[in-house]
Amino acid sequence: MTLPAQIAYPAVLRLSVVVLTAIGCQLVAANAASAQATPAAGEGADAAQFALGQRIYREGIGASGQPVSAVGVAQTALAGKVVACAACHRRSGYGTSEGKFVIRPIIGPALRQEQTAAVLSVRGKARLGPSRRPPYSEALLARAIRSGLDAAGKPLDPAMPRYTLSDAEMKSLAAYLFSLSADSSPGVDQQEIHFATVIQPGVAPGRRRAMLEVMQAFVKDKGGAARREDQRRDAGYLRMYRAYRKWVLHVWQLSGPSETWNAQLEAYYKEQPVFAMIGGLGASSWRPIHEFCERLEIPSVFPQVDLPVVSGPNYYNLYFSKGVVLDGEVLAKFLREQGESGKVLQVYRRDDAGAMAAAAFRAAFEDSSLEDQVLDGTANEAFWRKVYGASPGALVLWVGAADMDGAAPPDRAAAPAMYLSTNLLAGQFPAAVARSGANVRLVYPSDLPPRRETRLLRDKLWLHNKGIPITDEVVQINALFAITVVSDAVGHIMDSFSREYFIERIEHIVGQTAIASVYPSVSLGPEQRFAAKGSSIVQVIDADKKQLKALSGWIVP
Amino acid sequence: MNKSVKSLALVLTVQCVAGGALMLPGPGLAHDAKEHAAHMAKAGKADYQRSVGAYSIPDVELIDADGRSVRLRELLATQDTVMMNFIFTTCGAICPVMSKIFSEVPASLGAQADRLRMISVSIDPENDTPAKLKSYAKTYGATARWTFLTGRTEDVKAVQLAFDSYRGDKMNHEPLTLLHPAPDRPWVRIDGFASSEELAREYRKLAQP
Repeated sequence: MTLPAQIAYPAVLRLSVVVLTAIGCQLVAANAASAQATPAAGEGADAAQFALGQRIYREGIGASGQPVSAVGVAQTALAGKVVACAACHRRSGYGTSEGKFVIRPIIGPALRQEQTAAVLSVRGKARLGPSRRPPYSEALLARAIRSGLDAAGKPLDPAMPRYTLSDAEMKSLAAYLFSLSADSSPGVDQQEIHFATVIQPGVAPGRRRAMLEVMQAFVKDKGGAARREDQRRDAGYLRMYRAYRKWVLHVWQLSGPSETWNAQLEAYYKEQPVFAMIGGLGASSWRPIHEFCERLEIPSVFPQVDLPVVSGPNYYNLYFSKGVVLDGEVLAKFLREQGESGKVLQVYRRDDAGAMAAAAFRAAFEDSSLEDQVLDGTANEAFWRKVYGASPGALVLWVGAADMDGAAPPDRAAAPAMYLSTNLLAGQFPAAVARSGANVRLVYPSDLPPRRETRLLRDKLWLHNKGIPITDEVVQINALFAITVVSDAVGHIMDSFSREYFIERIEHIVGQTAIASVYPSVSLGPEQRFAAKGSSIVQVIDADKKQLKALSGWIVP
Repeated sequence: MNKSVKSLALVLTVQCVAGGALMLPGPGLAHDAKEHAAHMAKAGKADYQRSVGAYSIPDVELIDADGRSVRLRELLATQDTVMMNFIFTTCGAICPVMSKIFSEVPASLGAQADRLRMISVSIDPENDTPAKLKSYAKTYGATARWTFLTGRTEDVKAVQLAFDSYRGDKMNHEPLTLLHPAPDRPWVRIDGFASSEELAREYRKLAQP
């Protein structure tokens, strides 16, 4: 009796073999990528078939709109999203690993190739070992998916479910699988990889300059550090030379009303497609950019925005946090748990950010005695008289720094605790009101010295070494973090330029990135699109020295 | 801590593979293990490893899916048989299977299930808020005897370290089920995927004094 080679080894050895095979498979796949034609989104019947295949693959929903059913490991009956191919092989099809479980790549070029055992020589070159399985045909793929036998007739790992699919569903799924990574991603050619950073109108020039200076210095280094890699590529076949692309960063400055932004983005993209968006700055709702990225399937990595899109389908937009919505939820939890704040009065400016923060706070605070005061126009003396006249026990202020000029309490002794959002203050410290003796507290998405200084030391040394003075610490540090994450992920994917694989890598590495963001704790995962999940409440102790005191730990609402 | 657990552990290795049983020359292949392996081979199931060990439970307060504070030591001090695993709600490959298996254990046990207490601890506590755990529990039809726990990152980490299941990053985790018959008895550790029937078998073995 011949046993399949891979199960004759003890677990540890078996794992390494699987890993090597997976690497080998990708090596071959990369070569084939450009040669394949995609049967992707075409006309009529083809488009319908592609859509069905994609729905089975991504959502586990079959032709009738019903969940696809399958039998998983330990004879477990499973259905729907948990057995969608993407749940394990991920949206990219490049596979993944969880613990000792290695899930193989199933991108088109890998399936169409004969798979061989990869053998690593002492010089680190991959050469091909004995055949493991022949290329998959549509029929062999159907057998693998339905009955768990690979193209060579060997049983697949028991963790791979066995599916019940109709012939039409099977055909659509096979076509979709063969199309995965069959074409290389837009925004990458043989010489260059293109990125863009989007800036909304209304962003303060200082913030814009602060972000761009960091990113442009980083990109300059990226090119300068290449030791004529582009020329070496022609001299050898090693993958790192093949993978090398010169980075090009485009600044996509938006203007005019938000209804016109989509057309502006499409015009920019038509002129030069990009592989991904890095950073970005926004003063109002990010929705038009979010939807553009989602529709064109362009990764957007950590724009600095107060108004991200916090609900609805989102695969391609990675955010630092939920912005002002998180602020509202964190503050509500803090005040709820603290209790005895007396009457809480919420003041918000009638704009996107103010309204969104106030709505999030109201929903999470769950107290019908909460009162609202809406601010239109200027926050003048009469306005603040009205606010303090209501004798609130706590004042929640969803306003910007400019609105705070006349906010000093009339009676210092009876001044209510005053809560502000660091995000809405946009880097400006409410010094005047704090100096007036008011009890100013901030929803603060970072940690405090000395821990913060230690955490950000590496970022600051980088800025210092590039000769970049710190003008807007938050913007600069977060920009450096975003572009470092992109660089680490691009370095890892080498020449497998799949935008989905790129995002999957970021999900894995973001928590371990050597450069820190201002957020003390960041992580992502499948379906997780907000890296920082909490915030904290601090009190202003000394307005001039910007001395803060923590009133809470890290609050995750 | 981990070292002492390992030396304490009476390791019983069982490896069964679909398509034909494949015994590894592992330590201590007792009669029980052989019998189990034969059963497994017949069913054509995946492999898992069973071992026995003592763990020292950290004194931490976790939070259940209703947002209530739960002292882990008190929760585990029950005379009921505990079946515990580690999951996170956005996990794609391992957790859905583990949770589905957990959801089927009561049915596999039948009438014996009334002494079963299942616990799933999230290893992604910042994302897995009580509300998210509640909706996850609903997805798997969890009853009142299946508790989902989250908590502060450092506390959840301490629990994982105590049970030798911490792998640095949530994405590196491995399938693990821990069974505990009573406060004064050692834990049974199941590494790998055991089906609900297999977990029920392990449970019944523990229920016998």
